[in-house]
Amino acid sequence: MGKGKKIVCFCHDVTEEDIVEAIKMGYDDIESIKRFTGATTGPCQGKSCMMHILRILRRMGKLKEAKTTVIRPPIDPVPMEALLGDEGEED
Amino acid sequence: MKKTDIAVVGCGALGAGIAYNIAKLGRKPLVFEAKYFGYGSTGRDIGVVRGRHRDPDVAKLASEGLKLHEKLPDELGSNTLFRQDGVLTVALTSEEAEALEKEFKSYASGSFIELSRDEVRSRYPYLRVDDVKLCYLSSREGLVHPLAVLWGYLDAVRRLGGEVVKPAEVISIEPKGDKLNIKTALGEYEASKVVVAAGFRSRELLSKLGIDIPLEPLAKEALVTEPMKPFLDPVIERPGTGLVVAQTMRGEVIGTVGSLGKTSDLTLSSYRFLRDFARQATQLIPAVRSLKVLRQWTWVVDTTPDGKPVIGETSVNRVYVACGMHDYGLSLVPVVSKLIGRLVVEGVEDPMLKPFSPSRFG
Repeated sequence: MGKGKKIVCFCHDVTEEDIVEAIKMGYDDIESIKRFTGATTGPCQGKSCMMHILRILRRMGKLKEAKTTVIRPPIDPVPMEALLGDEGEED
Repeated sequence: MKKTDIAVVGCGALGAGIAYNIAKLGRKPLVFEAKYFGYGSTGRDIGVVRGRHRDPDVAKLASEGLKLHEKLPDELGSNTLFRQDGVLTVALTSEEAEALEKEFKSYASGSFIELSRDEVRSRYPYLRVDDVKLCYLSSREGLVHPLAVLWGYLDAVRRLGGEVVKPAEVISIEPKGDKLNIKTALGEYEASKVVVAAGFRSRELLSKLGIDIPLEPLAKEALVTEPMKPFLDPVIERPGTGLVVAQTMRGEVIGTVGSLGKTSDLTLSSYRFLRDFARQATQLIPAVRSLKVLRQWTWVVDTTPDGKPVIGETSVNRVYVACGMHDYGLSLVPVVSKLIGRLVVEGVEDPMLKPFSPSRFG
């Protein structure tokens, strides 16, 4: 990691430079940035990086509405074995 | 009113692929995207590329699609992250085995091999084979990054002088003389030809032109886990329950099972899906037990009554359609976009497209 790099997404090592580059390439809304750079898709699911990205979008005049990506379950990561349920449980 | 040459409605992998093939033949495509790139299906798809299909007409396309997927990174000059580690198709009950055997009998010999339980165990030691009744390996198939396909096409479209606008929902298309008037959220456009590749939303748009295509949305759920060291080479699928499990190049385990039925509601999420996936995935791959699920989502595919896609010129001159791709769309994108590009630009209809004509719905 070089000097002066600003990390936006710690889960996937996405820098501010990466975000700016994506915006310049036309991936200039929060949902497109998410998919193109991988930011917000790690274990934190955007909890630590979303606001940074929104700030960069606003600074570049691309923030049309103050909106995060769609929040999906689970709120926090859940191990697969906790989802097995009880054997005879009803649907 | 802005004037344009050929318009494409919908910027999923298919719309972007169609625009690329139009641009490659020397024309200037303009793509309209209502939301963001890959909103409905492409961005939610798991990315399994198969070269086979139960329907022989679709199978021809799929086989060609697989070949083109192999060449796509070179053609586009961009990595689609296509990994041909094979697709392992398993049956866990005798009913499933019977159906699977019948299905694979119709496939070209040489495109797959049958593996015994011992062979599965020695090739893939992380698989629990106790319940496996029948297993086929289609070794040239595999996993692609659906959005990387879309981005690759988009990049090439822009390089070739095409244009993409978003968010620009297309509200209506109306014939006007020998041109087409396109009303969008960004204003009106005039085009010489229009290709509709808007997934399940194609139906509503085309019905305003008096074209009825009996598309029904089908919602499927998917999930992704935290990444772990790459261990799962092939895609594992169990057609009996709709289970698909794979590991992405980033190490995340990704998968689906079952469906939510005929709805186009992209905001749904069910516990039942998580439970069914957890049970079925851990039954086959015990190592995923302790993996944490990061996210689940819903993805909508567009289906037709006869199971075949809808590809070709509609009853309205110069209006073309490519939709009804079910859950195998991504496998077909390279071939369908290539053939429809030739149809739109050169007027040449490939015989492979005949069974998919929109006129078959009367």
